[in-house]
Amino acid sequence: MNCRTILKMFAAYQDGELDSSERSRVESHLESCLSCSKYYAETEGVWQALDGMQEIEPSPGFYRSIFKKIHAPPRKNHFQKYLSWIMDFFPAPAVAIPVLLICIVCGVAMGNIIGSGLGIEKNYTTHSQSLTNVNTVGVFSPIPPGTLGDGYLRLAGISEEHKK
Amino acid sequence: MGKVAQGDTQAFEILVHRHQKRILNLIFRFIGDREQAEDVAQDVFVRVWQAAKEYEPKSKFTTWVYRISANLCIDLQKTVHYKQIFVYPHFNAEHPNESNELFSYSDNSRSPEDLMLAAEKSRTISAAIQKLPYNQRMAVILKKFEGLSYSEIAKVLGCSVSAVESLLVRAKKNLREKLLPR
Repeated sequence: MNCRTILKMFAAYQDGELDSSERSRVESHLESCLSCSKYYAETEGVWQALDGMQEIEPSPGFYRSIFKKIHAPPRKNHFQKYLSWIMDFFPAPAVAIPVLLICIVCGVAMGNIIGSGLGIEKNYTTHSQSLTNVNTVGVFSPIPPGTLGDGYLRLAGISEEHKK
Repeated sequence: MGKVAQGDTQAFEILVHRHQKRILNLIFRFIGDREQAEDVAQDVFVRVWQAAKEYEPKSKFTTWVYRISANLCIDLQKTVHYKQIFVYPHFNAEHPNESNELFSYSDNSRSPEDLMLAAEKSRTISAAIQKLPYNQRMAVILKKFEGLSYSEIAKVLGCSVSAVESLLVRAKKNLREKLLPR
């Protein structure tokens, strides 16, 4: 048995997990190989040094804290909170879906009725037309001569005269 | 355990008192932080209470509790590792609550110097153990401090006996590299 194979068996040998034949093979190798026996002694020393890790005691309120945790309401994340709220509001998806569809249809219908009643489209057209009308610029008068507004009105006046 | 499954709180209290120190130290050795270890150990017993009805005495009770503890510890360490990388990159997980552990060992028979040395040694070992990968770390703790056999460790970690052997070979090699003076 070579050193490499023995090194792989050290952990099991150290932990008493080898059967008697394997253990005797490792022991006979350790007796004959100086480097392996040194390596094993060092590994054993490190393993024993772990005993130096000290223990801690539970705090006096340990059991009480467990009891509190057991009787505390289950924690919910934001998604679960919203989901449970929705599910409380709508008891079943079979009810929720038709209600949602009815809401959408009603919303669209109401939007159309209100929109046509107010005449939004007509007003918009009138307003846009008024914007294009050059005469509406008159609200800025009296316009100081030499300004951009004055120049614009003159040009408009010339074009009106040409038309006539 | 049968009484605990029926909701007997007194039986549960006895069960907790019997196993609390062992579970707490297992988790403390894995995590290295006293406060977190207490919190996780409490969670372990909460799980025991909640899953008591589902417990089937196929394996030993301690193996079952160790398995719950190992799962919680590894999950927590993965979360801490994630937070270290993405959320708190400056958080030092190696000595998260150093001062607490250093002075928490009260032994009147030893001098302050001895206590300091022992605490320092304990901290060095703890740091070396915590640098091991999760499964190696848990295997070392279960073998060294809890005295479990390879087959019991395999049941706790949910792997084969040969996998446990290989985990311990690598863990011992890593510990040797970290703890042996050069």
